[in-house]
Amino acid sequence: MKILTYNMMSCSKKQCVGKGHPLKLDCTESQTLTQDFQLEFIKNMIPRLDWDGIRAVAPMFNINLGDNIEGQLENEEFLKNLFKLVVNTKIIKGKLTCPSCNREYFIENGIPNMLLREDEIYQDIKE
Amino acid sequence: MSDNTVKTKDGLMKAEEPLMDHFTSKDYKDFYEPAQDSYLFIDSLLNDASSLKSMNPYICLEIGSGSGFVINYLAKLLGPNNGSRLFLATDINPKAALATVKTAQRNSHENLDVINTSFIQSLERLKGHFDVVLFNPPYVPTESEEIKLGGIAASWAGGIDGREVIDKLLPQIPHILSGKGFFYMVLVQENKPKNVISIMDTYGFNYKVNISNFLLINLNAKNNNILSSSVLY
Ligand SMILES: [Zn+2]
Repeated sequence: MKILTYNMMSCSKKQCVGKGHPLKLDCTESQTLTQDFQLEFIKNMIPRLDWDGIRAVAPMFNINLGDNIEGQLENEEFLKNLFKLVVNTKIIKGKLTCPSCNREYFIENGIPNMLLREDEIYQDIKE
Repeated sequence: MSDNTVKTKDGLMKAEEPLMDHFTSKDYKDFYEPAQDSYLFIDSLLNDASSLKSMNPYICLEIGSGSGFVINYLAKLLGPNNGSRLFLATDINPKAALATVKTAQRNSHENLDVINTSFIQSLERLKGHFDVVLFNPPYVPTESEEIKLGGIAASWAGGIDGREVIDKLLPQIPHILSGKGFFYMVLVQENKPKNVISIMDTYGFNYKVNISNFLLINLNAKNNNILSSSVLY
């Protein structure tokens, strides 16, 4: 799963709507792709990104985006680094944790398991 | 079946079917094997290749991707596969989710991510941003209880009129699709497709003002004859 996808995800519980992101990422296995920079695509993704989430994970993959993210959205060097992080970096194994309810979701083979258990669904609807 | 080519303004377009030789019949006990409805689905995508390409989707989603055959086909059709689009697939069945990943790997698609979830649960923040949504629902009429069996039954058991799972998604479609979005869904005659159309009509799918396009594919499961395939604007 790309950092891009991870960045746009949130906790599965209804009770966490609006506050179940960015999920905290623990990545134990990752993969780096070598796809060429796509300016149009990355510019189109920018309004959908959660910058707190981007700031939190960039150092994990040794990507330096600088301090002033919002001021660099037209800077090509910045956009190239951002592309490297969100499009060319994949999480293969790890864990996502909801910042609101602390529910943990595991990632195996690049697939996050976002399914809730029956009792969680029941509890979620009740609350 | 078509010969996999379609004429567009850019010339003759061709899309290969995804390689599926990494699975054996044993694997297909755990997830849905591409069948006539899957081929009808990719034929419809091929027919729309020109408009899909000119719409230039950034994010494409398949709900219930099973083996991954259809979403990988779309990725091939829209190629080149180079980081300029994001393909997402969800499946409630963990074995199907893994199968979709394996099919992406077999076909060297690096821009397809798979999430083990129900419909678009956990992807709600992307509502309104999906440019293409594909859905080959569990449309076979069954007892309501059969929907909950899980595993491969989730790929076909549709409850009363085969509509119970479909009807959960329909109200979400207007919120999921982007303004330019296309939604593709397979239906069979038992699903009462005319009723599905009128429901989508009440959700504001006014095709004449061309807010969104909705391709309805009807096929009859009983005798496998395609009854109609129409695009409504
Ligand atoms: Zn939560």
